[in-house]
Amino acid sequence: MIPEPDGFLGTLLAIEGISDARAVINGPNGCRGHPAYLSDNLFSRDNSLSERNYKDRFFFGQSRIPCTFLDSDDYIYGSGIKIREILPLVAKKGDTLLAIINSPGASLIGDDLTGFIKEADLEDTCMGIGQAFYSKPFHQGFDETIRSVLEWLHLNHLPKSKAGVNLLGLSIMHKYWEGSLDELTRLCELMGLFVISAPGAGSSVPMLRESVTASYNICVFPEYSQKTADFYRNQFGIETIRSPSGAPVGFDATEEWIKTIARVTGSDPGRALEEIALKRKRAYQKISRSYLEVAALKGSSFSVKADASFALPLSRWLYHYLGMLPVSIRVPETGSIEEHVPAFLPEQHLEEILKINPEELDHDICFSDRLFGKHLVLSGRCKACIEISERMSPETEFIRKTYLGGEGALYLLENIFDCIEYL
Amino acid sequence: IRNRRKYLNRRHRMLYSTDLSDEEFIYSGEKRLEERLEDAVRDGHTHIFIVQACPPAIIGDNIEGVAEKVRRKYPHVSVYPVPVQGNLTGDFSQGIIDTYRSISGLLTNAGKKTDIPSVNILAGKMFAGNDEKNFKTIQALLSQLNITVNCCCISKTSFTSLMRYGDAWLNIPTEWDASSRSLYTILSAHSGIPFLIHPLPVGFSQTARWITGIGSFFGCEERAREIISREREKYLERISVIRPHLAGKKILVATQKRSVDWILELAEDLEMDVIKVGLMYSPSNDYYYTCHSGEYPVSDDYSVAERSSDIANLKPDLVLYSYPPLRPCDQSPSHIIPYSPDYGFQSGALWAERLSRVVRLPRVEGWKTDGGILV
Repeated sequence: MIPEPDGFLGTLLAIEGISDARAVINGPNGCRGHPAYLSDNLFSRDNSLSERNYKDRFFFGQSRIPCTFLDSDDYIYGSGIKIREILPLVAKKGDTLLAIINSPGASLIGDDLTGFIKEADLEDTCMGIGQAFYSKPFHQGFDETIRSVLEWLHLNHLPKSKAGVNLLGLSIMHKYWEGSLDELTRLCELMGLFVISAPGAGSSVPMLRESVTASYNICVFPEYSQKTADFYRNQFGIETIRSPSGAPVGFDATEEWIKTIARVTGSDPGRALEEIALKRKRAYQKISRSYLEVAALKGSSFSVKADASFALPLSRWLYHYLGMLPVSIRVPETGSIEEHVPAFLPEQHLEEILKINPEELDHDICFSDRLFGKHLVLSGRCKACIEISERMSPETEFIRKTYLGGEGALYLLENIFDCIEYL
Repeated sequence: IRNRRKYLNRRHRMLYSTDLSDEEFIYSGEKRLEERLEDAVRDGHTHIFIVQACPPAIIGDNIEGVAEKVRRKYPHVSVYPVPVQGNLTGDFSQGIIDTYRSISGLLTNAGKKTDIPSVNILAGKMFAGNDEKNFKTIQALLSQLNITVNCCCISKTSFTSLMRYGDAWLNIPTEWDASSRSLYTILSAHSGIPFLIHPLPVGFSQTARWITGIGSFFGCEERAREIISREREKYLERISVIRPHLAGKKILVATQKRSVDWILELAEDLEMDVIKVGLMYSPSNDYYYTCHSGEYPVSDDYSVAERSSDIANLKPDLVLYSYPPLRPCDQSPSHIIPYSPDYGFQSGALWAERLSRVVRLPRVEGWKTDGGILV
């Protein structure tokens, strides 16, 4: 059993993360509710004042991710009737791209999605995804789906734009993805680069078509972009720049991220680094005044449950910057942890903490999704939780926040300092 | 306080203001005070304190006269002027002492001793984040000796509890600092309840001495010895786990003038080497006292510069400081000495667990190098 967001959800939200695309589930109604809720909340494109899709068949009162609501007869006789009915109805919504995705059960029926799409005369608009990375981690489903979309679009070879880059590996499931996109775009612009697209994080199909004009891809979260990066390199010769420090989490990793990009692209990192230096100074002014608070943090223990490319730079930064000690780091089993900040754990003799279950350890602060964090706090295992990843109900966000870049480092500090009263 | 009329739900009002204007400053604010006291009585309050601000004190309003008038009119209501005259009498600590003084007449020995042995806990640290936790620790220790807490004077307490003050067998001060000693002087004049001259205990050794003192007073020495013996086992077990990380490490203690015996005793149990105790400036009227005189080098009037020099020359493995924190040039692991440490047998060992983590951390936290000038 995988209690975490899985590859099926990754597939659905990869499609839903394309601004003019829509995912359609061919599966039972039970597969639909939570992904539809998440999509609508993470990347809202409708509002409750319009009629939206509430009354439409297959939408079940929600605005995103219609579903064929397969029942037992459909599993025996096939889902053709409902697919034939849903495709033209959803096509009328006017999305540039539709993707009909088999649920785990539907994939066993063996219906020919491509055939139904052809029959509906939607070959230019709709792609079929028969197998959706069930039982795989979320990021794998996301990455493979973005790659599949790019392949399906049959992108043209276009002239390169010297300063154009794509941001890879950011999804709408990432906490504060919109603020993160803003922050990273701004840092790129300070280096004289401009972001053409961020596949799966709000970019439209035309932006994806234009993405091939980029000179480089810039990796945000490597786990979410390995296959996508391979696609761009193999098909269009676009190399992906990866920072050795992982995602730009905390000041140190952000500076490394900027320097790596500047080194490869030949751009000037000066203004972006100056920006981070200003953020560092702001943090210094606040922290140096709060000597009691920072003393409470020093030597405090924390656990992290997140993707490796987030968890490791975060842990390294908190260790060196605030003097906090990681006691447990849990990452999805991807076998790629050594790729992310490989020097950090062995140099601090902390390898063992990768094996420690935070549910069996008393500690101070937990960095995780809200559900897991609450579980640790309520079971008395930790004193405070900082939510760094999405899983359940996204908060209603008015100010765009981020955990990435210089702004993200400050916001992490703000959240950490908010925990002090519980320590 | 202005805009008092915005307090719409009068039943929940706990703070009333006379809202004095220029006119009252010229012709006296006593009438306004009387009106506000009437308001408070009408709202159902029966114990009312009057805290005078600076201007009414300067214009010479007779606060006690107004209070007496209201007392006569409403015999069931108690009115207590706190003679602070705004900020004229002193700072925060002085305000607390003045409040104790104003209610000391209530805290008499008029009551009878409770059947079950009980104590008053005096001068709780109402702003300490661990106040509640510490109270529970002390309450639990006392309950093991079948002793109850009669009254917490004055911290998160009720008036009913204050009125029981005289029923206790023993007064236990939270601290034995300047404020506590003033309190001792004030309360001793009004009540014959003896004081335990020992602050609430931090760490194993202090707690053992404290509970021995309590046991001796209440005649339950044997029970106290049993508790100490049981707690010692737990303590030694904890220490044995921490000791390998800290044994042999050199500590420099740079503290404001307060007792750090609990740290010195903990260091000894952990086989750590205290190379110096530096006594730094403190704005409050604290003083340094120790049971370990002559055992460690003590440097008085210890400055930040001396501390930096000692860090460079003596190369401690750990610096424990109260204020200020180490500078970026001070290349040493360091940790703050809590202003209000946790109480109880195991509190020192639990703090040492934190120290065992601190010695594994970088010598200087990264944020300290972001200030521009490395001093």
